[in-house]
Amino acid sequence: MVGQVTYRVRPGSALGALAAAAMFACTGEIKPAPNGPLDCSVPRGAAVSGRRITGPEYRSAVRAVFEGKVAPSDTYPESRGVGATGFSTEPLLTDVGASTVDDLMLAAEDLGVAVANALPQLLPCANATAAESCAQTFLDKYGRRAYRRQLTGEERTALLSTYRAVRTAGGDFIDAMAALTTHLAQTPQFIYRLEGAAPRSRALTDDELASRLAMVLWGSIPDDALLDAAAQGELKTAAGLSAQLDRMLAAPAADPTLARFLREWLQTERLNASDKDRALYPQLDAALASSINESFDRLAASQVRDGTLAGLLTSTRLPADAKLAALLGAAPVTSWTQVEAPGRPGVAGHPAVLAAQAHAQKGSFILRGRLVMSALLCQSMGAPPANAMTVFAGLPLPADPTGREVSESINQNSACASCHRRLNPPGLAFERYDAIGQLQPTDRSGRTLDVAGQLLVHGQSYDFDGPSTLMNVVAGQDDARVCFARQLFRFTFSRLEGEGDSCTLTALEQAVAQNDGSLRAALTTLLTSGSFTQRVDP
Amino acid sequence: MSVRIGRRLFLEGTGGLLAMPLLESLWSRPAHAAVAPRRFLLMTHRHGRLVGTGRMKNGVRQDIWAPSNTSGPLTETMSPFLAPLAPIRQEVVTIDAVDNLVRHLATGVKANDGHLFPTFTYLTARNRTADGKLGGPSIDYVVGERLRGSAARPASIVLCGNTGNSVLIQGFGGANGTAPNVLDSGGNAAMAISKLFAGVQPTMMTTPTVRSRLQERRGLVLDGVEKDYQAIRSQLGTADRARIDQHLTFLADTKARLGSGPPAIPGDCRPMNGTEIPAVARQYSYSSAHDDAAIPVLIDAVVRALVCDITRSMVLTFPSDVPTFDFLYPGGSPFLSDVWHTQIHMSGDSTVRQANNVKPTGIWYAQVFTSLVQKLAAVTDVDGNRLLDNTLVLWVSDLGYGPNHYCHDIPVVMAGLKSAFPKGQGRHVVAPNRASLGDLYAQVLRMFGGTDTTFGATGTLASVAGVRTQTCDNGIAWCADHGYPGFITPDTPLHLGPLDL
Repeated sequence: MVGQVTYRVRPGSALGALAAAAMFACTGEIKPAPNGPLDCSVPRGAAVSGRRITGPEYRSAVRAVFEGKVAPSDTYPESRGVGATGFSTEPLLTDVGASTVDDLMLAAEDLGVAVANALPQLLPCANATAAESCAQTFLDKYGRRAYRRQLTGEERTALLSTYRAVRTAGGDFIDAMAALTTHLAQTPQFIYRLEGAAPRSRALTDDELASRLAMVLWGSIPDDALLDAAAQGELKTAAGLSAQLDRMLAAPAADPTLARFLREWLQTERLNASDKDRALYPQLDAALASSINESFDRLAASQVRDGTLAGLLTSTRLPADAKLAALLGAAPVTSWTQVEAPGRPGVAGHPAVLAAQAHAQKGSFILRGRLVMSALLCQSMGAPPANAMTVFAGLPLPADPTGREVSESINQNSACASCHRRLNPPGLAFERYDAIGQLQPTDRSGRTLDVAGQLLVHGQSYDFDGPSTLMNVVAGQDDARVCFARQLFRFTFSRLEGEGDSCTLTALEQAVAQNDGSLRAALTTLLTSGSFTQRVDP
Repeated sequence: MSVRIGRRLFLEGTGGLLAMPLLESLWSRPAHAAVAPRRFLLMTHRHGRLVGTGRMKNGVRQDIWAPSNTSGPLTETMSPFLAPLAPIRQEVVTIDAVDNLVRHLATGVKANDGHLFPTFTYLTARNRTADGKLGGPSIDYVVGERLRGSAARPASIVLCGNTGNSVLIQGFGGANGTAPNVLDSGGNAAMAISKLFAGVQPTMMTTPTVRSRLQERRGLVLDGVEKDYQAIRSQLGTADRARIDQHLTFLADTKARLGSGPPAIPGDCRPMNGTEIPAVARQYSYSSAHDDAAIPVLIDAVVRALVCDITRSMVLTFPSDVPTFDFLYPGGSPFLSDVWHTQIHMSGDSTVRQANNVKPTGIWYAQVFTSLVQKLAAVTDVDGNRLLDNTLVLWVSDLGYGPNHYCHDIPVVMAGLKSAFPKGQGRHVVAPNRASLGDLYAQVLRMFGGTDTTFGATGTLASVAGVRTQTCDNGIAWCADHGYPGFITPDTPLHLGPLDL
């Protein structure tokens, strides 16, 4: 199903440039949070749709089920396109189509063969003539992980029916286990995130809650400790749930998910050396690209665990290794260290983000401005009109224009200016950073670029003299807090917020405000709230 | 400008299969002619004519695609874009004045997007649904449904010629607009080919393995899986149940096709596997070297898949956002990694340097089309005729004039299925009263024996959409700038009648 997929704009691509360079149908400022007549004193679950797990979740789950002894298949069908939220877990992105089930079958067969080959390491009782009890042992351990709970009698019988059919047909134990695994790997219990019907809001079962927690925090299945805690009813108590949250957040398994939250929120795909003009940026080799990526992922994980919203937006400290420190102009380091990078405020100043919001040859003030206005402040920006490039091509420009000259020319067109007068200034604040996020004292023509401007929000104008003061202004906006709450909601529930979510969003915004902007407090507030621990059908 | 065609593609396309294994030599002519199935092969690429706007400038129409401004026999010179079709021009009909009218129904999020809505409509001839899905099946699926003959055969398979998972793929849809059968594999051509021939590979095995025995038991496993889905659905809410029901529908299709062991395949079938893809193309990221090495093999795979009767509707699409095709520029590419799209937009004036930079890519697409036609012509089908004579080959694009996102004057080329062209081939046809993509696809269905007079949405623009229609009160130039030529108004009918084929 194509669903809500939208135009996938590769960061830094010319398409991205088009999307941003064109006139946006600006519809105004941030939309007010929906204020329905809900009684927020009554806990109510958020509506959550079932979905097939994504490719990264599948790979992580396979590794977790089989303790890394079996490689996941690369045939598993990935998500398609980008949805309304920008997060890759939207249900429509993994709906099945004509070839999906074929691919699921082929991926399951890959897994069946891999398990068959790894049986000596997975199952000590396994050999060609092993008895069915050995298959039962397999289900006790690996089946429980795959299903994220103990199998019901019917589920166990269903899987063993496949095993028995192969044995009856003359297959040996290895063949039967390959078939059983192939069956298991295609079941809805494994490849879908499903929860029982809830026409009215109801508490999640312990197993459902454990599964939700694992998918949100780890992008994977629960580990044995979480399954045990669920089985023992520990998640029912605030202390038990809090203990598991602390453990899960501290675990390395959370790192990729926390990084994904920021990457997808900030539209920052992983940087490849081939993304940029090799002649202009010979220093961007695979190693430097890897350093930039790792730095961003480390920053994301540490900020969500221990940081604040203000720090996320304004801190000039970031993780760097030797190669990245050189790019940043920081003091030399020999291993991963937090370095001071003046002039690089928060995530918006990170090279990974600056490079993502750039073209192959140069930075893009439009893409960067759009990031600030749309992703960080949730200001409504429409799509560029069909004739955007035609209009752009006709704008009067001097030879070798600076970004500011381009911006001024765009804003001379009244239709363009309706959006670009707000969009361009915050982007121009980062104009001294090139396409790989390196600070350049002058542009290629030797000009020192003016990076001062005014941020226009809700009709108010805020002066800034460069990236740091800009991001201080951004961090001081109520919209930044509201926007973060929305992004966290979308990430957690894999959908846009709706009328029924006003209580959840208000509580989230308050959690950010009342805990000095602690991101961890916001996350744990959400994951322990009735919105998360209960469910209602969409 | 001289154009360097990839070595293998050149040898295959113009040399009559000089370099690759000769397909004809692989398949013997049957002693007794049988009835051959009809096939459909669709080729699509991005950005339409790539260069020009269709407008007049200094007395010259800004266009490099049209062989002529009027209907008539195709001449050897063809056009700059279509020059490589010269050797097969007697097998070809080029069609002009075809419009994607439905694009102008676009509503909802990103309705103004210059690429998204053309993509979502150019193969379905329907507007998107309110919740953002395709409005219906794409033409390849509809044709394939009618031709497939057996549930054991996919209605249509979409093979990505270059890096997949891009916007153009989103135009293809199965029943009710559901996701199509796309083989993109993230740009890994070897995996795409392995998947394409997955159903027939077991017959190549000589020594049984765990995998081959597992494949023979697919039906057994899928029976169990199907029961699991049926069992769980009753525990779910309405929306989740619908999601599982959709899975069950496609699971039944997979079981019917692949569940009963290796399918019966024509004796002339020679399955391919991923090892025939050069090592440079077995990677997941886009590169020009990847495409140069992989595409000739993919063209071969398309033809062999039709011979093997894996499907009777096959698509070869070039969906990538970044087809810089460095291999076309031996002196060094004038493009930088991701500026291809911008280059297209700078090519509205067909005389400028940017336009000249873009032209080789159009010529290259024409070369690929020529190669496909020549390969189909080189194969003898089970009825003793050429495979080309039983196959309709259609080439369309998502846009007309790509530089301006125009959705009028979609470039259309047809070849093969000679019996379906009562006025013969080797012609350029300018639809006298213009035609819509709905007209074109209805004609395709009639060429396969259908009685269809429409395809996709019907009525007028206003009667169907009731929204986002323009009266062009601001003048023709304004309308053209916005993709609304003067002839596209709320009263424009979505079907204008048969094409003169």
